[in-house]
Amino acid sequence: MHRPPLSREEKRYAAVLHWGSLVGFVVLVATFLMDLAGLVEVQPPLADLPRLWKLSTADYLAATHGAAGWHWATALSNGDSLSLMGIALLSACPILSIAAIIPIYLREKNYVYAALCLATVAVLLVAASGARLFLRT
Amino acid sequence: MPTLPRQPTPRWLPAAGLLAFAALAFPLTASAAGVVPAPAGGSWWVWALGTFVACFFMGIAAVPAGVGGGVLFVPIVSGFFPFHLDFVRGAGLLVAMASTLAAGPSLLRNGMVNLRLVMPLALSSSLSSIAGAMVGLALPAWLVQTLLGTAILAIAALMIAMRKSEFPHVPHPDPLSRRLGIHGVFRDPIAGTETPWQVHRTATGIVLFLAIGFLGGLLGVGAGWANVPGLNLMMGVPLKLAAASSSLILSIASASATWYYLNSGAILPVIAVPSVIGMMMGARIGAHLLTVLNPAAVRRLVIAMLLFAGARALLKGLGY
Repeated sequence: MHRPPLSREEKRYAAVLHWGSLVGFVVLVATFLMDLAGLVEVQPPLADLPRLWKLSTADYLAATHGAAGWHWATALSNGDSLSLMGIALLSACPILSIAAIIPIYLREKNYVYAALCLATVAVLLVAASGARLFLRT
Repeated sequence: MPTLPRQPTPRWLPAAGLLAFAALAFPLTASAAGVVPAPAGGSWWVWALGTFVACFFMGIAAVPAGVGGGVLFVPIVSGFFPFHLDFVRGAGLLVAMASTLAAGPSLLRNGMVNLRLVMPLALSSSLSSIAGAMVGLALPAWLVQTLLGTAILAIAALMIAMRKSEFPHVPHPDPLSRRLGIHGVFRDPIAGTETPWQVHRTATGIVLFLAIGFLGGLLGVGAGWANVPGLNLMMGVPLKLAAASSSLILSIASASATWYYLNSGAILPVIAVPSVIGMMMGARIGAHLLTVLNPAAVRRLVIAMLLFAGARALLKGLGY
C-alpha cells in the first residue's frame, strides 16, 4: 500500500497516541481482571451494585460515601479506583498527543496552531482537574 | 471509509443480528421491568456479561453502518438495562473515545487525517463538550432521557435523508481557512488517487462543532453522526478525509466530557469496561466483515435499531 508523506506533527501525534492508548487499554483490562478475580478489595462490593447502579450519580456517591473529583486516585488499593486509573490514562491520551506537537509548531514559528493546541490542552486540563466551573452537580 | 471489494450480504445476516440482539435484550428488559424475576444475589455479572455481549453486536453493526458506537450504545443500554442514565452516558462517552483512540494512529499514518483541519474544530467541540457534560449531569434524568430519545430519532431521520458527496465542489476557500492553511492534497492509499481539496464556511463550521460538542457531552452519544455531514456537506471536506478527521475530533471532544464524568463519579467500571471491550472486539470483526457485508443493508438494520431504541428512550423519558 502506498503511504503518503506525513508531516512531523502528524507522525509525532500518531506515535504518542499509539503508545498512550496501548498502555491505557492494557491497564484498563488488567485492573478490571484483577477486580473480577478478587485480587483487590472492591468497594462497594460487586454484589451490591444491582441496587446501587439504579441511583443517580449524586445518590450513588451519598450511598457509597464516595466523593467527586480526584478522590478515586487517593484510594488505588480499591479495585474500582484501579480500573478508573485505566480510564484516566485513556482520557489523558489526547492531552499528551496535542501537547507533544506544540514544540513542532513553535519551531516552525506557526504560532496560530501552537496557540490552538495550547488552548485545547488547557480546556482538557480544566476538565481533568475536576473543577466545577459554574454548575453544581 | 476505505472502498473495499464487496460481496452480497447473506440474506440471513441482518435478521440474525436483530434476532441475536432481541434474544439478548428481551430477558434483560423483562427482568429489569419485573416481568421475569432478576437473578438473585450476585446478578451483577449477568448484567456485566449482557452489556459485553450487546456491545459486541453493536460494534459489529457500527463499523459497516458508518456510525460510532456511542450513538447505538446510549439509547439501547439506557432503554433496556437497569443502569441509571448518568452511568450509561459516562460509559457511552468512554466507548466513543476508546474506539476513536484505537483507530487514530493508523488513520494518521495512512494520511487520512489533516491536523490543521482537526485542531480548530477539536478546540471548539471539546470546549462545548464539557459544558454539555455539566448541563447533562445537572438536569433531571427524565428530561435528558426525553432529549436523548428525540435526538436519536432525529439522527435516524438524518441517516435516512442525508446524501454524501465523495468530493464536494468548493469554488473558493474562505479567508479564515486560508489564514489557517486548511487545504491539501488527499492521497487515497487504497485507490491510489491524489485529489486537491480546500474548505469553505470555516467560521460556520466552528459554530456548528460547538453545538455538536455540546450535544455529545449532554447525551454521551459521541458525535460522528453529525461531524461527518458537517465536514463533508457544509465545509466541503472530501468524504474519506471527513470520516477520518471526525474520528480524531471525537477522541478529543469525548476525552474532555469523559474527564468531567469521571471526576463527577459517573463512570462505573463494571458497566464501562465490559462495554469498551465488547464494542472494540465487535468493531474489529465489523471491520473484517466490511468485505462480505452490504453496508446499505447493515445501515438499514442500524436505522431500524435506532428508531426502536429512540422511541423506547422517548417513551421512558415521558414516563410510559
